Amino acid sequence: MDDPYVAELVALLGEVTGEEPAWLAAIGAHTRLDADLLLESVELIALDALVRARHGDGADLTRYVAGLSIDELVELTVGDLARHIAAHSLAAPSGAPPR
Amino acid sequence: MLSLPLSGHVNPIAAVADELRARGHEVAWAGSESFLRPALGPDATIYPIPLRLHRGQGDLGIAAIRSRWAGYVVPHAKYTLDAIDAAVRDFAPDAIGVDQHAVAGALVANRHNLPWASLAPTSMELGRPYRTALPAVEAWIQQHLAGLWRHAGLPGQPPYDLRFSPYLVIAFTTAALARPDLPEHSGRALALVGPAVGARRAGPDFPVERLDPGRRTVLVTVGTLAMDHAAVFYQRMVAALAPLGERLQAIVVTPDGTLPGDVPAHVMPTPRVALPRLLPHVDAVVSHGGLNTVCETLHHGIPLLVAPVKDDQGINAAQVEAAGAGRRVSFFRARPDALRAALLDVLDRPAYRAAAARVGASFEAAGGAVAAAGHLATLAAAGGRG
Repeated sequence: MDDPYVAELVALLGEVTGEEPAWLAAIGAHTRLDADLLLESVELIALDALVRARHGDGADLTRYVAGLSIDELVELTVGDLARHIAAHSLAAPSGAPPR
Repeated sequence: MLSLPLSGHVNPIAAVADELRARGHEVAWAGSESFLRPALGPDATIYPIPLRLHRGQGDLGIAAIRSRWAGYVVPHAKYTLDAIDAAVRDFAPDAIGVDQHAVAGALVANRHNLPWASLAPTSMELGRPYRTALPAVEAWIQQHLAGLWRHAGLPGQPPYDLRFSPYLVIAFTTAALARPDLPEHSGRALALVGPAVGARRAGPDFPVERLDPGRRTVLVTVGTLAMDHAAVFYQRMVAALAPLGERLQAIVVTPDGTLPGDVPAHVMPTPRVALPRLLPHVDAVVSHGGLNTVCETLHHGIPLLVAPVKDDQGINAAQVEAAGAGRRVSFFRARPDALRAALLDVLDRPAYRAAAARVGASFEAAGGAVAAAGHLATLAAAGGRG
């Protein structure tokens, strides 16, 4: 997995969902949160809290998804979230070398 | 009465219609006779509209919101509009009861300037759940409603949200359960009547003599989902229950009344059963969180473990948790250990049962179908022409 922000999101998704390594290993930038991961709103809120703790309030995922249309929400991917975090982060992804 | 050909929608409204007829009012329905007749009985007046199936009912999550409106509510409203209009002209009702998802009824009521009530048999629209977290989704729903308004030839924009009649909104819940998701009161009359339970039974009775009175009884019922969604959940639930045979027995409702693999003796798979006579023997219910199951369970003062799958089930699960009447678990993720721990917590902590009893008492006080019929009769009398 090349993108360190995607790698970090996968780890955080593991924390939020409690899913097994095989489930996490299948996640990539193109994985959709809705159809592929069946991510629920309570899980997104928990993920958002973890992301903001690491990257600051500017990386706020709930505000990001609040700005999306229904078609964009259905197609929203892990890569979309990673790009949003990368653009708004105050810190490098955890475990990754500083940029 | 106008609803959708879905049991969870029609059943509470049918109970209200029965009560209105018992008081001497005339009630007519417009909809699929092949669906409505078995639900309403041989004496009901039905203006028939042929059943048309819609796609996308298997979707989950946000995709399910999209398919509900773009693939079901909107096409259903367009498809039924002319037949409902003709039925209203023929029957000349004094008032119309309109399921929040049967938007054609709101259009026809506006065309003919008739008093009408919105009926909320699910929790899906009542609190307009997307208005703050996903405002573009709420706006998209409003666009669909405006499009239907224009499609019906009505002038300009809808004067109000067509899911909420300005005359009367009847919700089959109470504040004790739905407090987190009640609509804001912008001059609307909101009647929280609690569940409307009809005389008709959904399914045969479970043979309660099979139950050992010395052990607690758990009912597991996750609705009419396709087994491919439910198979993993059932498997994990059976694994969660497996070591608990000393202290409890579990009735597990499945579509065909069987469970695959080795099932321990204290786990009893069964096909669909009627809840009313079974629930008095039950100590906890594990449910997908359909509003009817949740409310029937709470009506008996029984706490719940809710594993929501789609639609309004997540809202209902959150309401059960907020009321203290049970716990929410993840349908797709919860492993046997987590399911077992949550179930034992719900069974063993008296606070859940006490909260469930409080909600159940609020249902009893709210009046159900009798109260709903009273509100509709008042509306019809106020707007009636004789």
